[in-house]
Amino acid sequence: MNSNYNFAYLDEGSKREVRRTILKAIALPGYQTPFGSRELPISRGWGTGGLQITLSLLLPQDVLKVIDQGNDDSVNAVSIKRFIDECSDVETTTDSTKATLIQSRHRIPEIPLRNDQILVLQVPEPEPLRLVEGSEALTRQMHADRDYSLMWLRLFEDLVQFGEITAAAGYPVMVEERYLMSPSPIPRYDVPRLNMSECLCLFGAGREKKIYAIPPYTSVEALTFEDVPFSIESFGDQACAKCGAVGVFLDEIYDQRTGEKYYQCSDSGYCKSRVENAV
Amino acid sequence: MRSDPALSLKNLTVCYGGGCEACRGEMAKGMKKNRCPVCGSIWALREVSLSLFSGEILGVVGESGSGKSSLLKCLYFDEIPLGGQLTLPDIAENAFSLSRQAQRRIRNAHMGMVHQNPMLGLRMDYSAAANIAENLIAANCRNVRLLQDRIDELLDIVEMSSYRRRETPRHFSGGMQQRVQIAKAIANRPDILLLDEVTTGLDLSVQAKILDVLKKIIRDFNISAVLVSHDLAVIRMLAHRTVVMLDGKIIEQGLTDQVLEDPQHFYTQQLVHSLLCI
Ligand SMILES: Nc1ncnc2c1ncn2[C@@H]1O[C@H](COP(=O)(O)OP(=O)(O)OP(=O)(O)O)[C@@H](O)[C@H]1O
Ligand SMILES: [Mg+2]
Ligand SMILES: [Zn+2]
Repeated sequence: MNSNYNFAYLDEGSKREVRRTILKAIALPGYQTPFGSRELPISRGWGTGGLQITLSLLLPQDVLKVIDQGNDDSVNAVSIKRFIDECSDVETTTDSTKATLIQSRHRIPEIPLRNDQILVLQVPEPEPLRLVEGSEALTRQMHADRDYSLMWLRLFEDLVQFGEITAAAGYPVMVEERYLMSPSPIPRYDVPRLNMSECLCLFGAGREKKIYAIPPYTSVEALTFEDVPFSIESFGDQACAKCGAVGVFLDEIYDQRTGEKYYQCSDSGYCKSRVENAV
Repeated sequence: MRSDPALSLKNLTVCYGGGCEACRGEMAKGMKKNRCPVCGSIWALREVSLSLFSGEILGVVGESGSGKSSLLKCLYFDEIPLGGQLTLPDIAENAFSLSRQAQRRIRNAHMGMVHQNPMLGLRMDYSAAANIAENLIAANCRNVRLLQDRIDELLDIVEMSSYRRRETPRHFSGGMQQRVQIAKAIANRPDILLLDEVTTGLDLSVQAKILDVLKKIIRDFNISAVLVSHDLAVIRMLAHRTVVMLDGKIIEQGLTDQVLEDPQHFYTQQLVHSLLCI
């Protein structure tokens, strides 16, 4: 820890403001709560929203895990981890069962999270309606009125043009049957896992200055028509080339030399612990 | 013909620009024109009252800028009026003072609108099918099978071939765009249709076809309609009664034949004369 920094970088006043925003967000599940996003020594769009949540919640006894698209060792995850390490002494881990706080981008860890853990997701575009309406004033009005028919129309247009709903990452969901919410760019596979989740999920958008939350045991439903079931990515009976797992979210990887395609767990921490336990 | 009113409107006033003390006071005495000479605000509608009876087609004529479109937009809750009462069957309150949500429910259940400008009435980057489905979806239909079946039915009613459903109206002719607008407007089986210059700008043979479609729809589905048009031939063909507007006011009204054959107001005489000559 570099003692020139505050613990967890932000000053206590800023942290308090972020925590108040988080409380408000928890009280209104799925509602995008504005906050005064701070400058951080990481550029906006690289997870500063999630990072501000993490820094504001972090306690010295916390165990932190940072992942990017499921991977603990990606450049982005490593640089966030190194930054947090610079300004705090908290322990880090790749094992999601050991972590008390998990900051992630584009994935939810494979093993279901518990009630004593917090998941923080980085969000590039918090407004699910931005796709169908450019004006912030109008999208706010739509949320206030619970008027989401334009989003339904968009999904219907997909069905007309392609015979299926094409939205892949960041599939729109209804939270507690009240607010339409973007679950951040997680794959469809992860969307049903938000429903009635034991763990508190927090979403931070630094550039757009919004925080929103899914408290534990909250209903989260993917938007879809009565006669069009919501479907998730399927990998058939493909298994992870490293740990042999099936029925998990896999990444497609091409062998650089042979050009051959194989699959590997997207959650690298999960994969690693399976390999270690098998030995 | 005369039964209960499908709607009745009292003292509808619309002002674009906010107004000033001068024109607010002037209102009572009555400005000559609809534009305030002091602040430049446009008083597009000034204490307009009218009734639409069930099963009736009410024509609205008047020169450009007389307030015809503003009238329809208010009835469709697209424009918030400065004042006025709108009474609808089974609704105790003034419909203009209901919440946005309540107004939207009424609109989805009872009203259909064909906009003067198809750019306002249609989403040019969505398929014809999605455009027609929009009001059904707004009225909470969440079943794709039902939506598709209703779209087919509607395409049939407006005499459009089903294979064009996936195309976007951007590439349609004016007549085809109006057919999509009409299909969209009647999708929820409304009691009231608001038609703003449905045939204006279309060539005569297309006009005739669209008017036939409309006549059939209004008859078959027992709809009441407000029909705005520049074209007195269209008004004569469809409207039972007609109101004449000038500078945001109704200056004459009566049975269509009466108004067109024997206009009382000097302006109407001129209008009828000029429009019959061209
Ligand atoms: N959104 C607006 N903002 C400001 N002024 C407006 C607006 N809409 C209409 N007006 C003005 O209000 C008056 C009435 O307009 P409206 O569109 O109702 O006339 P209209 O009878 O439909 O004319 P047209 O026959 O050309 O369609 C006009 O002077 C118009 O310029
Ligand atoms: Mg007009
Ligand atoms: Zn004025």
